[in-house]
Amino acid sequence: MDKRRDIFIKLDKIKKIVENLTNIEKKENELKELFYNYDSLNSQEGKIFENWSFYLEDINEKIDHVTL
Amino acid sequence: MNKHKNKKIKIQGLDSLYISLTSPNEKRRNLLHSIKNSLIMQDELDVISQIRKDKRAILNEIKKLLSEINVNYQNLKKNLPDVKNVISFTEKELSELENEVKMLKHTIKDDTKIIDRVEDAEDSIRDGNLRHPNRKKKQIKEVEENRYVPNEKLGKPTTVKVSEKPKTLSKLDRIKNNLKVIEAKLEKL
Repeated sequence: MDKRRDIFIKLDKIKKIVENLTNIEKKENELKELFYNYDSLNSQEGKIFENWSFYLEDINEKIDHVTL
Repeated sequence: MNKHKNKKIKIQGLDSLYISLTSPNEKRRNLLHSIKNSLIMQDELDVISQIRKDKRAILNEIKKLLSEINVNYQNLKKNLPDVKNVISFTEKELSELENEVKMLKHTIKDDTKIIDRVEDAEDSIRDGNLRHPNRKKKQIKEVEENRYVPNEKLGKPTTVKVSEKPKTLSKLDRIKNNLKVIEAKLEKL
């Protein structure tokens, strides 16, 4: 017969543990937000660089026409 | 003649110095456009530098938060009980306790059998019924084999009546108590 046992572990400092866990949860949420902000800034930077490539292409074209 | 020569020289000089532009307005427009583009790029360069500053600040904040979270996790680890080998230890303890319980149950069975036999013998003695002396001897022998019952007392039936019963009963109680204690331990675990 398969014996199944439940093992219970007593937690003495449950208040401290709960406090720590709530702190960790808060900080992890903050971290998530910060990463989200960082990601949005990164995408903004990427867009600007893409625009730069278009501008540079345009400048090149126009300068080609200017040559004598 | 001299005037003519001078004119020619002047025209030749002009030819070597100036080159005529075809569609100058378009070229001017193109130049202005390229300058405009470069100015926009310069403007965006400032935006990029600002973005990079913000990114650096965010990275610093992330580092700070991560170190704080690390500290919190360490505190959490300190407050939590050490349960590295709990399962294996409890398994061992449980198996040991189970073995003990089995042993005790076995001894209880033996003891109850012996008690029954002793009680039968006592009853027969009380009644003065000595019809089966062989049976009584057998019973006494069996009791003698048991380590909990002293041999001398079983040899004399009169003494058995007084002193045997409470001793075997107390043993049984003790075993039962032990069983209860072990079961309580098991429940706790």
